[in-house]
Amino acid sequence: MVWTLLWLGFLDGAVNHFTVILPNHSVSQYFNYGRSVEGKLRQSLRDQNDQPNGVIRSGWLAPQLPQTEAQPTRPGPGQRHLVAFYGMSFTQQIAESLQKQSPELATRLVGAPSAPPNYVYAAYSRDRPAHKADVVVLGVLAENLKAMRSLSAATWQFEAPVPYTYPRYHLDNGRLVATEPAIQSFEQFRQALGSASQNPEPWQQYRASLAERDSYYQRFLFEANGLDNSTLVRLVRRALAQQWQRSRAAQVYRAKEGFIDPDTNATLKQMVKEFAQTARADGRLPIVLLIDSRTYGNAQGSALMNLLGPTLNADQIPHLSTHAIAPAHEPQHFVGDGHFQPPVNEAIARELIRLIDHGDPKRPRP
Amino acid sequence: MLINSYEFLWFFGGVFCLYWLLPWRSQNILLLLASYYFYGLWHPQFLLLIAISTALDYCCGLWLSHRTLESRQNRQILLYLGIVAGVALGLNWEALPGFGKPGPVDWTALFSLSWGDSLAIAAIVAGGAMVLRLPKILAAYPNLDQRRYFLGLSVITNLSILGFFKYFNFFADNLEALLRQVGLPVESLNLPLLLPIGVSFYTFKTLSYTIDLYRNKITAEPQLLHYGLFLSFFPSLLAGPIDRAASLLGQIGQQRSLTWASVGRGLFLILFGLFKKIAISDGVAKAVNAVYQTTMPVSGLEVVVATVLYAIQIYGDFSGYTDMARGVAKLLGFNLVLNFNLPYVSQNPSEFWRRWHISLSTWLRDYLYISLGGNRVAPWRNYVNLMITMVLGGLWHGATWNFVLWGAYQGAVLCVYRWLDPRAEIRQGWAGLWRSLLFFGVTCYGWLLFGVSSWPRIRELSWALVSGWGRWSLALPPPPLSALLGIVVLGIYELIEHRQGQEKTYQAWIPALQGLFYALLIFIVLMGSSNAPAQFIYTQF
Repeated sequence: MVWTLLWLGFLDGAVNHFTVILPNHSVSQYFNYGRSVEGKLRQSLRDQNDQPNGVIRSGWLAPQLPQTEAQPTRPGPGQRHLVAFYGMSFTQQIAESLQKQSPELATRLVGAPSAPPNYVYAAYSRDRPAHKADVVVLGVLAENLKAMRSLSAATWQFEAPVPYTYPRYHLDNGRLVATEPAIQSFEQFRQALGSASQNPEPWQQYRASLAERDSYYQRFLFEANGLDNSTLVRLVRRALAQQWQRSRAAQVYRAKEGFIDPDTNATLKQMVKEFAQTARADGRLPIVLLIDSRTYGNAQGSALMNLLGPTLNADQIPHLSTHAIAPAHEPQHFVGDGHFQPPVNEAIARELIRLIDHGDPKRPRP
Repeated sequence: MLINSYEFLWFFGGVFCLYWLLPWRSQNILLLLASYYFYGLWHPQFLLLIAISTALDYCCGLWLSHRTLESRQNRQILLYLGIVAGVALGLNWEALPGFGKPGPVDWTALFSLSWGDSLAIAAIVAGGAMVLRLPKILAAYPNLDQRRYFLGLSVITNLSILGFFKYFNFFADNLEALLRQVGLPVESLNLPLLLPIGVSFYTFKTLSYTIDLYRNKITAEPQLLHYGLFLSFFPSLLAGPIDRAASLLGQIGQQRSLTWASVGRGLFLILFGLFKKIAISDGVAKAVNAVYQTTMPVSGLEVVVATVLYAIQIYGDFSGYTDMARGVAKLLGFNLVLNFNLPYVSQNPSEFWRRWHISLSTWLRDYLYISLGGNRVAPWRNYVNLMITMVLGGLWHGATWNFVLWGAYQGAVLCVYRWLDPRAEIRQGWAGLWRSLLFFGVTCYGWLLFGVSSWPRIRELSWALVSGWGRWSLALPPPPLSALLGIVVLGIYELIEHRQGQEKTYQAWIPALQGLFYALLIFIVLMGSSNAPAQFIYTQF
């Protein structure tokens, strides 16, 4: 027993030493996965503070939506439509494919890494007055519905947390009501976390708000302390984080039953309704893009379509389910990291072009 | 609950603490209740099946020994059937902790007995009462070989239960396909059946008891409690080892003790099993599935790598489970049989089947192969016996054609090796190493047949092995660091064990080296604990 403990201590220290002398080695990164979320965010802040394109700055909804500075606000010369995409990497790839296939369509991209539907809807809402797009596409990624009960991508992406925040929505008398996060911009984040030792209150308030309203927040996983210095504790924390996240995700989706959380389901349905209503009020064609992640569907159909299909059809909201093109239960349509194969993106883009050409069924062309 | 889960940790922790506070007769009651709770969590209705096997073979065992049941024993059996049926049908298991519900017992929702459930319980008890009258009924036929009759009753009933739940849909689907092939219209014969977990294992256990009694190798167990515990002993209930009555029943009937040595040994086995399962087997599963469970075209190299990884996965999975089962049993004072003995050092199939899933291969040898005549027949008949034994052994694993194919392949390999080298000599040195490597390749192709359930995919992968050598890159997800390190540590340790020729070779090392070994295992298990968990392969049989 004594020798075992001694050797465990030696291994713990040896691996720690290795991660210090070779911090960018893949083995060091492997053993860093189990560091607390706060610990990893501090490292990212330290490493990327001076990088304007660092991932730590991506996705923030305030003071300015990401990427919109250089994005078109109206169709260019010779272009017939501006299509505004709201989503994540999937929508970005599809948008790029659409632009290649149809250069007469301009694209405006607003998104964040692994953006859940509440982020996407919030981004759409804030971007509404900023452009003259006549088509708006809301990207809903199946595997990220689980994050609708969160306020930040830092809590539910434990191994590689991205700190951007977004509102959490719930229904009040059938209308969407947003709970805003305590920190909404990168500057606020940098100030709160960067000076937490001198002025702890803002960061503590932020943590308290996550503890109260973010279902993925878990103190042992999130808060940094001396245990971050132990390799063994980091390994244990990583395993616990995976189990915790699986249990949270299972409250929203199960393979056999589909999407099972009534609050999440009702909120998302209202979200797509209000998206369509507001887009139509702005004179725009709304399109809901249902992105069926790998395994979120079977031979009987798509989990997202089962959930949202009745709502979309009832309100005649133009929509496209990727399951119809690349069934989610067939792994050959996906690359190793879960994104679609390039030919699939092309096929989805073609379908989107067809939908755009078809127009809004609620506002037939004269 | 899985043996490598946090829920099992809580469950076993509670059982262990209570167990060693109780006198030994109460220990058996506790273990029986714990075993039924453990099994009932998977599917409570299946407790009925294990109860039927228990009651029937307990009675047949005594009748095979020319013993009659006393009134007290008759009442015990009927009470036992009634209680288990009531618990299986009338208890609302979702109100219990461990059944997906957090928190303590929900007493208000614990019992829900419908009229249908009550009738079913009454029917089961009445059926038991009728079976108990059999000796009196058979007494009217003095020329009837009663021992053979009771053996037949046990074998037919148990194999019928196993056959119905496991093989009915297999044969029904194939019959349906055949009838459609010849143009006959046929309705679907498929039934919505769930396979009772562990049924293959406990059925073979109970059959070994009645067959050994018939052969006068053992004496009948007079206590229903002991027999019930023998059949349902939770460490080995789901995936073996398939202990014989002579070994396990004997231990149940005796007082057990716990020493520091047995605690150490038990904890080591649990740690070693977790290391093999969590760090290695679960770690390589993704790479294997990328070839075996998809329809993507693959190269010959990818098939080879995936198949070698599958050989490692299935060994880590199954021997890991067995190690954990033996370790848990050890902490309760029981010794379960060794089920794996470095199978991949085997130089020929005879040696392999003395080292792999030993409890199953010896069962097939003792109760099937020898009953068919074994090797004491003409050579051609010996080959037939080998093929029958191995095909049925394959079918035991699952009701799909790939398991039948795997069994036939193993039988063919045995026949070929027997023809080439009847004495199955074991060579040393480089010749031995070469033979082991060659036989490992032969074994690996068998694992391909075992692991790929789709016949078209078996064809594709087999063809890729022959013609798919145009591409030498690997498009498989690499196994995680825990699996790579784990394979190295396991390989080195098992080579040392093989050279030294003893199972507990680590116990002879100096304390510092033992400590390093344990620390490495713990460290790698912690690394592997973030691997996505995969279901134990053998709990599906």
